[in-house]
Amino acid sequence: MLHTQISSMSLNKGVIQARLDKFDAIFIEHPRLVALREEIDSLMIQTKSRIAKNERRRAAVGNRPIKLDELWLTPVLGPSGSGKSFSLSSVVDTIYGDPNLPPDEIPVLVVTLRSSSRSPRHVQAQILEAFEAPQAETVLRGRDYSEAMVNDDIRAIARHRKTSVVVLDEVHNLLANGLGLAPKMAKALKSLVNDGIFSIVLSGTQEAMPLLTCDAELQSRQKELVDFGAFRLNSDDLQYFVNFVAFLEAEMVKEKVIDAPIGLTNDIEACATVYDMAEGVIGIVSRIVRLALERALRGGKTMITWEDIGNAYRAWQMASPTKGPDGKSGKNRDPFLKGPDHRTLDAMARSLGTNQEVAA
Amino acid sequence: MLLDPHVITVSLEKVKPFIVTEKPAPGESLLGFISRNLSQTATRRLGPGLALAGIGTLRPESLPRTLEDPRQVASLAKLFNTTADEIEARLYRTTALAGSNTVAISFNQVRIRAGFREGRIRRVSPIALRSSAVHRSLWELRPFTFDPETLEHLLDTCPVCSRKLNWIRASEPQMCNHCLDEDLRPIIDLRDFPQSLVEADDVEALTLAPRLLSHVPSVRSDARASISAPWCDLSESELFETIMSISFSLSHDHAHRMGVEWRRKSTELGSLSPMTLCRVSRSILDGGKAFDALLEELRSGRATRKGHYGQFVEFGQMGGVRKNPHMSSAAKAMVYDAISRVLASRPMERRFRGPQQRSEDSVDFVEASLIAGISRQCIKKMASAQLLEVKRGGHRGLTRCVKPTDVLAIAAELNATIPDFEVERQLGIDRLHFSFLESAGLLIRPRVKLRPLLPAGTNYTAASIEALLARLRYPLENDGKAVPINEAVLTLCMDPLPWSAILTVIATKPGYGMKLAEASSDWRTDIFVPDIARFKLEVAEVIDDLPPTTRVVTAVGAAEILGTTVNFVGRAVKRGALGKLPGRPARFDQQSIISFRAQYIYGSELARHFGVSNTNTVHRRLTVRGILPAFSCVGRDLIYAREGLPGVLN
Repeated sequence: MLHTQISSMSLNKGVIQARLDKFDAIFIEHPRLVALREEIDSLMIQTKSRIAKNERRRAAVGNRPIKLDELWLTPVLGPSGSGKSFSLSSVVDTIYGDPNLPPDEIPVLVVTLRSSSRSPRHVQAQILEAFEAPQAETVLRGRDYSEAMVNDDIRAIARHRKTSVVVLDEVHNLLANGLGLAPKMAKALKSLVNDGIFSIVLSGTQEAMPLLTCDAELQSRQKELVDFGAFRLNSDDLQYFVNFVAFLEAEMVKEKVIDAPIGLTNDIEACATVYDMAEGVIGIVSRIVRLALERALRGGKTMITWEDIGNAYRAWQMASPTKGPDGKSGKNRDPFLKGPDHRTLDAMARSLGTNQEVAA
Repeated sequence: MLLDPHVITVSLEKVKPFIVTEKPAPGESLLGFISRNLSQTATRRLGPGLALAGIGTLRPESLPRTLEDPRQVASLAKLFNTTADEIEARLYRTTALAGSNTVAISFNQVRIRAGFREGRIRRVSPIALRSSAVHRSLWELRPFTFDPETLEHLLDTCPVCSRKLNWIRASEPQMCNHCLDEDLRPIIDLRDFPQSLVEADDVEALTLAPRLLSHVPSVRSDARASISAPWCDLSESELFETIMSISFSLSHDHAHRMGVEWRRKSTELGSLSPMTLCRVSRSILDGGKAFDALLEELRSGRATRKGHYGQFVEFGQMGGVRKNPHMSSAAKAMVYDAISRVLASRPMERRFRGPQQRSEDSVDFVEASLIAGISRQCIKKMASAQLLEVKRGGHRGLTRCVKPTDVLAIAAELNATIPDFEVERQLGIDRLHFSFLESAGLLIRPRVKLRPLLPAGTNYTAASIEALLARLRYPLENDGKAVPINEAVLTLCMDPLPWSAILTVIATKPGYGMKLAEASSDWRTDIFVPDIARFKLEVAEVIDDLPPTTRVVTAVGAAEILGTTVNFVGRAVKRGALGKLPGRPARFDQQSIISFRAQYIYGSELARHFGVSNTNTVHRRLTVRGILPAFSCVGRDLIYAREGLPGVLN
C-alpha cells in the first residue's frame, strides 16, 4: 500500500509553487456544489421577479410607500472546511464570468462578516463596504443613525448594481459576541428581507443555528437548507465521498501535480482511513492532501506517500482541536496509528462491496 | 455646528465615489448639489459627507468660498461622480471689486460683494422647486428676496417648526432639514407651502439684476445689451453693484444717519424690497433721462431730510455717492454727472434763518455748510481754530461770515485724512508701529490746526497712505531666488516681529516687490525678498535707529515675552510686580519687560522646564526646597526670583 520514491535532487521553489498552483486549480464538481448553484440561480430568478413586481406596484401608486412583498433567506450550513466558501466562490465566479454581464452589475454580492459584528449597524456597514460605498465609514461611526435610512441607501445601491442576492459568509460571526445577540441580528436580517432589498444566503457553521430559529418571522422567510455537513455512513453519501477522493487523486496525477497515484481509494481499508481522517468532510481531505503535498515537495519528492498523509493529518489536527466523543475538547482517534474505525469499515464494505469491486 | 468627532477625514488618495449619484443641474449651487446627493445616502450631514472627500471643515456652508486646493476639488468631484470643472463652476473665488478694496466673490464670473452671499441659511422657492427640485445658486444672494423665474418670495423658515432652513443636515432641497420622523427621514415638503408672488408689472426691470448674474453667458450679455446709454459701457459687475448701491440708498434713505450708510450689516442686505430694485433697474435700463427723473423724485422728498446739508438733503444717501467704497469710479462719475445735471437744471434750495445781508464773497455758517456739505458745528470749529477768516455781516452786522472757497479748501483737506484704525486695517499692522513709520516719513499726519477737527485718535493723510501702499505694490524686479516675506521674517528670529522696521525696509530700500500685485494683495504675504542676508542686515540697521517710543509692547506682547498669559501679566501689574506705562489700554516698556524676565520667572515657564502640566506641582516642589515666590498672591501662576533658582534651573 505504501509507495516510496525519493528523487535524487531536491526541487527548486519555482517547481514547488508551480505544482501547488496546479493543485489549487483543480476543481471538482460535487453534488452539493451543484445543489448550491441551482439554489442560488433559482433564488436570483425568483428575487428579480419579485423585485420587479414590487417596483411595478410602487410605480402604480405613484412611488408612495407600500407594503412590499418579502424576499427569501437561504441557509447554507456546514462545518468548517466543508467547502462552503469555496463552493460559493465558485458559483459567484461562474455568475461573474458571464460575458454578457455589464461591468458595473453585481448580481450576487459576497460579504464576509467579521467577528467584531456586534450590532445591525456593523452588518449594514459591512454590506456597504462590500459594495465599496464610501458611506460605510459614516454608518459605522456617524452620530445620526437610523436602520431604515441605511436600508434605503443599501436598497438604492443594490438597485443600481442590480444586486438580487447577498451572501453573508461566516454568518456564525454574528453570534461571536454572545448568543444574546441572536434576536437583534435576526431582526436586522429580517428587515433587509422584508424591505424587499435583496434575498440573503447565510453561509456558516452550525453555531449560526440560533440565528435561524430565534425569530419565527425570519423562519417563515427561509428556504430549504443547503446542507454542507459531513458525509454520513450511508450508501449514497459514502459513494459521493469516495468518488470525490478518487477524482481528486486522478486529477492530481492528470495535472502532473504528483507523478504517481497515492492509492487513497485502492481498497476498503484506505477508503475508511481517509473517511475517518476527514470525518466525512471533503474539504478536510483537500486540505490534508495539500499539506502532505507541500511536505513531499519540500522533501524533494514528486509524489505523496501514506506517511506524508499521516504526518500532515497529525500536524493539521494539532492546529485544529476538535470535540472528542464526550463533547469536550480533545483529539480525534488517529486512523493512521490505530487503523480505521470498525463501523466505518463495515459501512464501507456495505456500500462499496469487496476490495476487488472497489479496485474495479 | 460641530464636526462629528467619530468621523475621520479620509486622505485624498483614498477617496471612493458614491455609487448612486445625480448630476449637477445647470444653475444649481454647490451646497445644493452636495446636499441633494448626500440625502440619497446614509450620510446625512454635510460635515461627515465632506470628510469622505478628504475635506475636513467645521463650516460646510462656507465651502464654496474656502475650497481652493485643486486636489480637494478633484476629490469632491470624484466622490460625487462629476467633473472638477462642474465643481469649479460652482465655487465663489475670492477677489476684489473693480477699482475698490471691497472683498468680492466671483459669482458666475461676475464679481459681486462677498457680503451679498448668504452662507448659513438655505432659502428656497417652493413653486420653483415643483418644476425642478434643485437649489438655485441665485437663491444664495441676500438682495434677491424673490425667485427670478417664478417671482415667488423666497422661503427661509420652515412653516411647521419655524426654524431657519440650513445646510447642516443634508436634505433634498424641497424638504425641511429639521422636521424628521423617527427614522430620521424628512417629512415636511416645502412645496406644499407656496409663498406670495411679487406684484410687479415691470418684470424686465425686476429681473435685470438676476439676469446680470445668470449662469448662462448669453443671458448675461442680453441683459447688458438691453441697458441704454450711459450705463451700457459698464461691465456686468459694475452694473450690478451700481443697481445694488442705489437700491440700498433708496430703501434706507431716512432710516439711518447719512455718514455710515455704505457700511451695512450683512442682515440688512437681505431687506431690499423688490419694488425698489425694480424702480432702480428701470431707471438704469432706460438710461440718462430716466435716472435724472429718479433723482428729481428723490429731491422732492428733501423736506423729510431734516438735519442734513448739501447734497444729502437733496438726494439722501445718493448725495454721498462719492464716498461709496463699493462702486467703481466710472459708475460713481456717471451718478455724479446725473446729480450735477439735475442740480444745474434747478439749483439747491437754501434755508436762511432770517433776512440776510451778504457781502459779495462771504456767506454765513449755514450757507457755508450747505455749499461744502459739512455740518455747521464743524465750520464753527474751523473758525475757532483760526482756520477761517471770520467777518461780521448780516442785516444787523452781527452774523459771522466766511469765504466759501476757504471752507471748501479745508473741507477737502479734512476729507483727505484717514483715522489710525482704518490705516491699521489697510496696512495690517498694529498702530503701535505708526509713530516709527511717521518718523521715517512714510506716514504723514495732517497739519496741527486741522487735528482738533478730526475724529479722536491719530489721523494720517490719505496721500501718504496711498503712496506707501503703491510702493508696497511695486513689481518684483528679480524673482530668481526671491523668498516670500512671511518666510523671510522668520529668519530674523525675533519675537515679537519688528513690523515697523520691516515695513520701513520694504518701503525705502530697493529690490522688494510683489510678483503679482492685485487690489486684494496683502503685503505681509505677497511681498518677496530678493536677498535674505541683505534683508536681515537692513532690518538690523533700521532697528538700531528705532526711537525709544517704538519700544513699547502691549499686554499680549508682554505675555509672549514673559511666557505667561495676559491675565497673569495684569495680575502682576496689580500687585506692583510689573510697571506699565500710563494710559489705557495697558502698554509696557519693552526693555523693562525684558529686564523683569531676566530677574524673575513665571511658574508656568518652570512647569515647562520641569515637564509637568500643573503649576501647583512646581509650587510644591519648590516649597519643599524652601523656595518661595517672589511676590505673594499673584494667582496660581506664581513669580519666582531667578537668583534663588540656579540649582533648580540647572
